[in-house]
Amino acid sequence: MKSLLPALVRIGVAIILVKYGIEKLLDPVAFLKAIREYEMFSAESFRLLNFSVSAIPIAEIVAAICIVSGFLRRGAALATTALLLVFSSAILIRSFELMSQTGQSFTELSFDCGCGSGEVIIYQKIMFNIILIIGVLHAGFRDYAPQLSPND
Amino acid sequence: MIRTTVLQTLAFAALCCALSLGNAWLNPSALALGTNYAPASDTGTLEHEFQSIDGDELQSYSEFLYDEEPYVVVLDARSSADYEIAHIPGAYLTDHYHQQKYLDPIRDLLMSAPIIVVYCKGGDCEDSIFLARDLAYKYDLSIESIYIYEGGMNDWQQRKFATTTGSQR
Repeated sequence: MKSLLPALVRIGVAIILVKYGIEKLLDPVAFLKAIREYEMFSAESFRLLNFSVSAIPIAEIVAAICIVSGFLRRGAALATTALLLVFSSAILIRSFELMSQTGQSFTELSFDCGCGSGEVIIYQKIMFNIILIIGVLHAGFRDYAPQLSPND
Repeated sequence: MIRTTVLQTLAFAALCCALSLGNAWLNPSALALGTNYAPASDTGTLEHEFQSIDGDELQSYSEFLYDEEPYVVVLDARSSADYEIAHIPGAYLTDHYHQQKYLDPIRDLLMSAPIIVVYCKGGDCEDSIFLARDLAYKYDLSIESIYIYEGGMNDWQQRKFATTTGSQR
């Protein structure tokens, strides 16, 4: 079972990334509107915004393929981790803005974060992203993790 | 290890960029990279510079919408999927995010119509405002002739006015 775990983590992470990527590719307008809500891009940077809307779902699908196949595995894992960290931070910043505007608590907050799964409960999404980041790092860098024993 | 990881990350980014550009150019449903889909005005994106029209007034024009040279042209800025579920009878599908495909065939009609009404879902939907700005500043239509139906499809259906389904006007 222990020897199967890395493969299961890779496959699990890849399925999640492919699902997110395909959902965004199929509805780029919804993804564009969701990203616009974060106000990460100025009005003049609309080309960069449009490119991000095109590139992020592609990156998720390519990362899934890389993580499963082993081709550019560490690069894909690092880039995906960076993407997840940027978006999780953006979700948190928007959450704090909404909390101050609406008076809702963090556990009550829900909105469409542009993650490809419609409206979600935000604290659950953040926890899921943390688990996903750990999964991606495990899938990409497991060979380089400190070993407990030579036979482990 | 660090050097290899950085090189792999750069190679991964380059591969994704190339595929994304290919997707943007080859996939007909992809967004155009050079189009500003949220044109802003000096007043900001939430307020708009156009006149507003309410549901009752728009409904009073409904008999003119099928005229050969209509006095009022109604444009639906929502997606084709939303349009097919229900739209205002006589409204033209002009999906804001694929507008060129829909606006070019009716350009002459728009130039000659004294009143052009644009609507989307209503509520916090801004697509009607964005489309109206494109009509005014990209297609050079007179700002005075453009009206926003702010209530949008939600208001129209709440008032229980007639709707049309499918791709036909």
